[in-house]
Amino acid sequence: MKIRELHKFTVDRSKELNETNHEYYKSISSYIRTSNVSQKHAEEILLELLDHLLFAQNEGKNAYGIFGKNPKDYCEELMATLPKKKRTKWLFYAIIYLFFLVISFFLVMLPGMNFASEFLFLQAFFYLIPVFLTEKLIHNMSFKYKTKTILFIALISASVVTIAVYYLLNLLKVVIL
Amino acid sequence: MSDMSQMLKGILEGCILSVISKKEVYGYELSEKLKNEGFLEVSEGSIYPLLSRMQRDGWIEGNFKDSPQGPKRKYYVLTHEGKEQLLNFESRWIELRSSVDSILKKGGLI
Repeated sequence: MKIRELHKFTVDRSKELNETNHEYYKSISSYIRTSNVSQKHAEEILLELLDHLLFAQNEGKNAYGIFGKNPKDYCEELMATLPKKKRTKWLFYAIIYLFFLVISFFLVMLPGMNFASEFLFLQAFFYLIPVFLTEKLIHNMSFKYKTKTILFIALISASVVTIAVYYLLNLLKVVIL
Repeated sequence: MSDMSQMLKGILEGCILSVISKKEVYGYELSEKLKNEGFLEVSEGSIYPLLSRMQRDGWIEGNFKDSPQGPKRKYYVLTHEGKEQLLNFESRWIELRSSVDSILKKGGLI
């Protein structure tokens, strides 16, 4: 079964969960999906767990009773048995890098920018940092904050940091030369 | 993890293999059957890491099949290796049970 189909099933069916169960399930989904577990296995097991949780919910049970008081420990136990991702997403990161390279090129055109092209390549790297970090951040915070909240904060801080670095580099260039 | 809890896990795995050997089952069905036989202290969710490990070791095979609600459900069957593991477990359990029974008979409080 295709990964996307599986993912869609879990998203649709998880709407049938009550509030407590939904929160629990969302946190474990987030944690497992952002880990180094193979995507296919992650989606398959999440579908199975959801199926079980829905049955249990019908009988008045809740997620804490089924998976335990500590969702993180449960996930770790599960993940230890699952195969890991075969490749890091280098192609994905390369595409993002190129994308930001293009954006940087246009930013250079802005008034007040004294950038020459030699900084562009370096600068585009800084945009990659938030991309790397965001997934890690979501993973580590799966049980504390909602993914949307984390993404929002990450986006804001990443924008602030990259713009600051951009101007700093710009300043350095003016100072050095 | 302590040795006791490892042993309990091993026993639980053997029981899971036994249930699967009778008829192919999906997760929830399996946990219900185990509960019916008295495994009440075991949380329902604890079967999934075990099922996952047994699949990885080739003792069972999981196949997704259509369910009445639509989304596919994973059904488990024993593999050849799984059947051997089950036989191993059954003979080890018989030995263990008779040892424990014999010790309890000689010294227990009941």
